Amino acid sequence: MSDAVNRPAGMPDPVVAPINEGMWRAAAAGRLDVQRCASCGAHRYPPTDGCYRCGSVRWDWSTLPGTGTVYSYIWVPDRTRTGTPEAPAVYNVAVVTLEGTEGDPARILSNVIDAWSPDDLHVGDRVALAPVGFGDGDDLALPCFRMLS
Amino acid sequence: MSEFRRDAACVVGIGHSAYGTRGSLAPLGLGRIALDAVLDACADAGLDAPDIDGFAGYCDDPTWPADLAVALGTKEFRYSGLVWGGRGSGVPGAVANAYAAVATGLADYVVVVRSLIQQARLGQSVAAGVQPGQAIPLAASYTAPFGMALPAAIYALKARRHMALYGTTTDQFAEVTINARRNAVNNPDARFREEITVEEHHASRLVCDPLRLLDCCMESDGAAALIVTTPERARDLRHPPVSIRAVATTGEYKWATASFNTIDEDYVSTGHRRAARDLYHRAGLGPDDVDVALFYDGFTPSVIMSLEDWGFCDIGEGGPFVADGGIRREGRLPVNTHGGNLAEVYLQGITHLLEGVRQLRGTAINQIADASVALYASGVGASPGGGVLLSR
Ligand SMILES: [Zn+2]
Repeated sequence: MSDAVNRPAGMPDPVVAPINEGMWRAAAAGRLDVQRCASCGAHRYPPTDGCYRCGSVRWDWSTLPGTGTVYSYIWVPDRTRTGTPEAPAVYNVAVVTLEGTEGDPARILSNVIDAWSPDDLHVGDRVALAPVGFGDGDDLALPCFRMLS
Repeated sequence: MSEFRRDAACVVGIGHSAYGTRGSLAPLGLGRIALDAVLDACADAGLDAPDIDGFAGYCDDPTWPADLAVALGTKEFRYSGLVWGGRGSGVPGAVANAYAAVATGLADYVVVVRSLIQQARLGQSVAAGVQPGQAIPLAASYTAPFGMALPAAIYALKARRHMALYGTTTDQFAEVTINARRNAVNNPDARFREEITVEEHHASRLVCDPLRLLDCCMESDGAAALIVTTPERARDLRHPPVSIRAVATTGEYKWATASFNTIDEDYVSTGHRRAARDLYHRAGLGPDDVDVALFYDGFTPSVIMSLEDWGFCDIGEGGPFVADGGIRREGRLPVNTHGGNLAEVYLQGITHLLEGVRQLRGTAINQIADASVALYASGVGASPGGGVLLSR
């Protein structure tokens, strides 16, 4: 199943809003863009209106390397498909600590789309950006991840 | 930090409505079951219901105090306060509101009340308050599209990292439910009164690996209430009061609603270590003084992390603490002696406070001998949660 993508079925699309649109568009272009304070340079995720570190409300987008390490993860039964003992019908949700950030560690909640069974993921595994599109066009994507081995 | 005025309020009455399975009380409605709970608490206190003059709620409770006051015949409606945010963290905030209201003279008798009818299935939400097919709010855009759907998932992520860091096992999670079921056996109000084994736990349906069905609380309906007043007014009422020694609601740094972006040292926790520090300081008490602990147990890891957060063992030692029977009635720290959310009823924490009052009155079904201090601690939820120390 090398071309397949392990993503939960039937989940809602994100709300596209001025505070997050840049990251969905960047992901569609193959980049991981995260909000960065324009005053002190601290990264923050999810996006917020103000900077926890310096109080500034000015921010811009910052392109990160797109790599990170698995901080924690879970496996959730996917009732829309039938599994086998080798490939159980489960999807993962992983919290990934992003590399190349400034300030408090920035973590993103996402899916590791090429991990299929509980033995495939461990705390500390390295992963890299693997966007998955959403919406009608090809200009928006979710920042998902794949295993780096 | 300012000096806290301890023992300035007390609990004089407790009550609850009928409890039922998810949706079963819908024909009665939220207002009616809330009224049943408040009237039961007034009867317990020996207080005329129209003398209630304040209301404190939590969890974005949709039952309006203004409507309750009319149904109760409230003569002077002096106070109402609501704690924002869902999940298991709001009870101490509601107690704090009631405490502050009576201690400052804003009101005389404040009832803390929660009524819940689960027509919307909290256990199948795709985001807080959002059912499948409904539009999500902006704040859920960073979780719901990735399938971070179930309330259990929040605990499962914490549980996984707890396991990775400290070697905690699913056997230890199972022990939390085994204890809850054991305590519910002789509780006539409890829904699940059959004991379970580790094997039954491990054989139950996978909900959100590493958590299984028998790691999860039930979905249920019901209402519960407790009446808070000053020690002076309590003298005229039916029971010796149970003092609210102290209450604390101190949120963790950048916790929000159990965010995955807390600082590292706070992540594998219920989010109440700062509240624990403040509560013990305000009460002039410590973990060694606690005779009974009522821990919010929406999911089993909550109890293991609460043991650590509230200082009953070192960080990472919650698993071994439960494994050797530490939370059983005969153990070092009896926990959830009524069965809790896992076995009695799920009303988002308030029923744990009722049990704390029963333990200190000496009327609990699984009475801990000479219990004089009881701790209530919130679970993971919208910040700030915290704790309540009751004493007699
Ligand atoms: Zn800044």
